[in-house]
Amino acid sequence: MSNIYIVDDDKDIIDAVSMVLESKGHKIGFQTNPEDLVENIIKYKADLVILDVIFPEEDDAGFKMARKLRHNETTKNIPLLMLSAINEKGQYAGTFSNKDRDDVYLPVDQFLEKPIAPQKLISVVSDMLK
Amino acid sequence: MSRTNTIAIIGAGKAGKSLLTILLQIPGIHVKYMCDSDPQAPGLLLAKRNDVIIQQDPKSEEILNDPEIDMIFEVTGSEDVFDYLQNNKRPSCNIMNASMAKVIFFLLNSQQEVAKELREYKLKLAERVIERTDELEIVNKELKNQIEIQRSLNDKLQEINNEKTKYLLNATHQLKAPFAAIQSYVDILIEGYTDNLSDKVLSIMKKIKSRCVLLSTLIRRMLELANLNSAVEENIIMKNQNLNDIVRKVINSESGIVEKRNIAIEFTAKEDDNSIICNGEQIETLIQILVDNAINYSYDDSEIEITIDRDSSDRIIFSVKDYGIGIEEKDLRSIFKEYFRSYKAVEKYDNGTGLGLAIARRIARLHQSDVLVDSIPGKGSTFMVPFSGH
Repeated sequence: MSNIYIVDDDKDIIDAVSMVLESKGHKIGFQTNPEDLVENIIKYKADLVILDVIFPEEDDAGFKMARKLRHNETTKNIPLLMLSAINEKGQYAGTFSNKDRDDVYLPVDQFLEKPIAPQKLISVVSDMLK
Repeated sequence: MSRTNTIAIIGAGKAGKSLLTILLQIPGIHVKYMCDSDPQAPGLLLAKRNDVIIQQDPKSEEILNDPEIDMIFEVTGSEDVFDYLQNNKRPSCNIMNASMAKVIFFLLNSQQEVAKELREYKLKLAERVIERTDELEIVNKELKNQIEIQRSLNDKLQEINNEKTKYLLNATHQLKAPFAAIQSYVDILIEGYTDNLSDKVLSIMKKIKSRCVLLSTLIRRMLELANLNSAVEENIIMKNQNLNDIVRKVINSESGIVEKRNIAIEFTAKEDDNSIICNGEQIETLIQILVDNAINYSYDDSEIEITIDRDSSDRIIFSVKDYGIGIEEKDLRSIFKEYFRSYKAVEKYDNGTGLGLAIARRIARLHQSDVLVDSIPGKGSTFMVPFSGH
């Protein structure tokens, strides 16, 4: 059982992810905008963070949040899973597999596409928590 | 000229004046004296104006004794004067009479003419050079302007392209995000993360899911087509890629459905290296579409043959052969039209978008190729794409 924290502007996605992960006994915390993310995650003692990419005010808010977490001493080692409806032509996931640029461009550990495939989500999250 | 030749002209008549006029223009010649007994002689005024010493006596002792004088021109026409000068000049001084002076005068005149022409020619040449330089400058300026215009147009195009890519990305997100939530809930229900569903509800949920899959494919394909029709940067990037690798990747992605329907995909590549210069993502889409079609229109428990071969002109031929429903001859042209689907195709597979082959052809044409088809209704189809090798 772990503390998992989700940041997504879509409350339905938060609900769906929660349903799937709570079925495996995980505790879910969430917020729907990028505000005070680092502080909230430290407070929540998150073991894993799930980030959406595109937020209403910023196309790349997810990337910015990921970088912020990586630059903070307390949060830099928390596994990050990125979740997005957009993966046309491997736009993000393709870059994700480009090891040379991972650190600068996509500082996350895993990338999953929406819609959420429950089984896939469970197996990716349990791998990341190991 | 190494040294100055000093000259005295005896006789300031018409001939003397002409001679003086010419000699004054020749560099290296200094006319020191002009001499005429007639103070009104026409040459004297010119001489005075040019600081030539005027003498009245044609037999002037001063001239004869002046050691600077190298030459005396005698143009009075008087033999008596000439003889006198001839006999009394210093040995180092030369003397010329009127007729000899005439020849010299002629030569000098011609030289003056030539020099004048040369000067005029040089002047004209200089004018031409200036003219051409001006022209060049104008052309240069125009070129610079054009480059500037071109550059700003390019910037603008780039800007439009960026905006378009951004727009497409946003449009994709706006379409896909709410839809992803629906799909996620459907999967959660089907996979039993909530209460167990009755068989009737479950079967309806599965139908919803299937329509969701169609809709999401349709959204993806429409955006792909929109994207292909614009010259966004990702469409132009061409790299050397081995077709074999792309085909294997696509075949791997199909393993689930293929297993479920017991369809055997057999892949043969004659060469290990079938590299082509292409946009890898587009070619993957193209191959994915053709392989998807082969699977969707195949019967269960059948076979699909994928080959990469070389023809006589060393072109790389990609082909997918299925033993499925085939295509009626009347439909062969229509299958590449956007949204066209034959009744038989809909009957066999109702989740098609009608966009796959339109996209496949567009991609092939962006790679200077085309999608070719050969089909027997009820027996199966073969789709081929020839690529010029690397």
